[in-house]
Amino acid sequence: MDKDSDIEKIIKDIYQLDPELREQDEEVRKIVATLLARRPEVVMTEEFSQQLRQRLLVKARTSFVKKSDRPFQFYLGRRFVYLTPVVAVAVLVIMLIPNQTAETPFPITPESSLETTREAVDATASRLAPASEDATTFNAFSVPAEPSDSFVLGRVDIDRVIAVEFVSVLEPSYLVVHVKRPDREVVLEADVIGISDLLLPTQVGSTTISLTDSLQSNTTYAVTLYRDNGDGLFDLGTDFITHNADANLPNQQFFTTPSGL
Amino acid sequence: MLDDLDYVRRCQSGEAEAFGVLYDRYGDKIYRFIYYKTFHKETADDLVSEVFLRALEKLATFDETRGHFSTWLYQIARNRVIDYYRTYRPSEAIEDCFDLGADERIPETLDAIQDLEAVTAYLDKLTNRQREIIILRIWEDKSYKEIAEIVGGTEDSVKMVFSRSIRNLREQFGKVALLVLGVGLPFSSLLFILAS
Repeated sequence: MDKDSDIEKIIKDIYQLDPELREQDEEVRKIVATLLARRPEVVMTEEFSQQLRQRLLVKARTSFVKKSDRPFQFYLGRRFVYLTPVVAVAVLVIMLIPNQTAETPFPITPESSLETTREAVDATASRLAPASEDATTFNAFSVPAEPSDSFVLGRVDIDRVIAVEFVSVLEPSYLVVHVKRPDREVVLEADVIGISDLLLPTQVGSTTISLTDSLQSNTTYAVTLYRDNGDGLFDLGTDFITHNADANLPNQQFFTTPSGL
Repeated sequence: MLDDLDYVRRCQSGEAEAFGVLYDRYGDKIYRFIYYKTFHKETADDLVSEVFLRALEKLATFDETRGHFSTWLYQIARNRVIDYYRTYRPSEAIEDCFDLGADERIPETLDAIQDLEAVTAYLDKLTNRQREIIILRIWEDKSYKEIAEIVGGTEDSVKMVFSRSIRNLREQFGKVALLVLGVGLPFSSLLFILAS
């Protein structure tokens, strides 16, 4: 709408409310015109606006909990909400037991069992070796009883997805999949092949990480927890590796076998 | 296009991105609204951030049966400005918050200075309530119903205040307004000439 029509609309409005003002039509019009013409045209600067938007989205992700992420609260009611983590762990353990008997695709192999798993390879299903140790036991013992920064890997599907059976974070974080180089500790951008969505403290449970690149044969990969610096975007330079209170890294490694491709 | 309520419901069911859409719709409007109450950019920057953070925290309690999301947001902004002045100048009457900010009004350009002189000369002559209603009606193009929800009161009382405000302005500035537009002199100069 242009300024003239704005003026006309307001003038019409004014005369409906106070018909006597029509007698000073010219003065009234000039006042309204002045007010409209001198309206300070202010907007946020683009930079400030985008920074604020980003800040709000990060906050929103931690504040808004999807209904699907809080089924236990719904069933237990507010009085028993404190039982939610206990129930979640119990349900998780129950869910993991059938996985062992079904022995469907291949659980991620912790590097500690690397030698034994090299013998068991099924190249048609996965480039990852199945763990020879009891995967259920491994997973169940890894689930923390108290809130902490921790996760338990599940399996890698052929379509470049790593399942995380359980993840819990104390602050917004990311799970990052990267190549583990034997000759250096520092992780470079080129090493990173998968980043989870922003993980929130309110979301305890499973997730998946999509990989951007194919897994290479005979390679060790690490999955590491990185703390978000507050901008809601993963950046290797500004988001730092999470350390637990005991200075340990919540980090797991797995490897691909020589015949895995 | 989905309306505000759709996005509010999405937020309430956990979709964080939906809040981004609401921010895109109202960020600049709320910023302007705060600026019109403070005429101070840095203060408006601070307060608009606080308003949206507060809205985000309180969104779960937003009750769609009690009004529109936009008016709810304006109410938060209005209350935040009042709180700001209450903290900033605890000894002053909150109703006069427009006057409290007078020392800090810093427009960035010469044109903005002249515009500010012109409009504040008008707005200074109004009561706080009249000023709010004039700004919301003429600058923000809000309906009387929306204004009533934001500032409180009935739609009829808002209409009455609006019409009285225009009458006041005409009585005080009618002749000056004609001169300003007629000869193109700065508003403040004409006020000075008339006062002399």
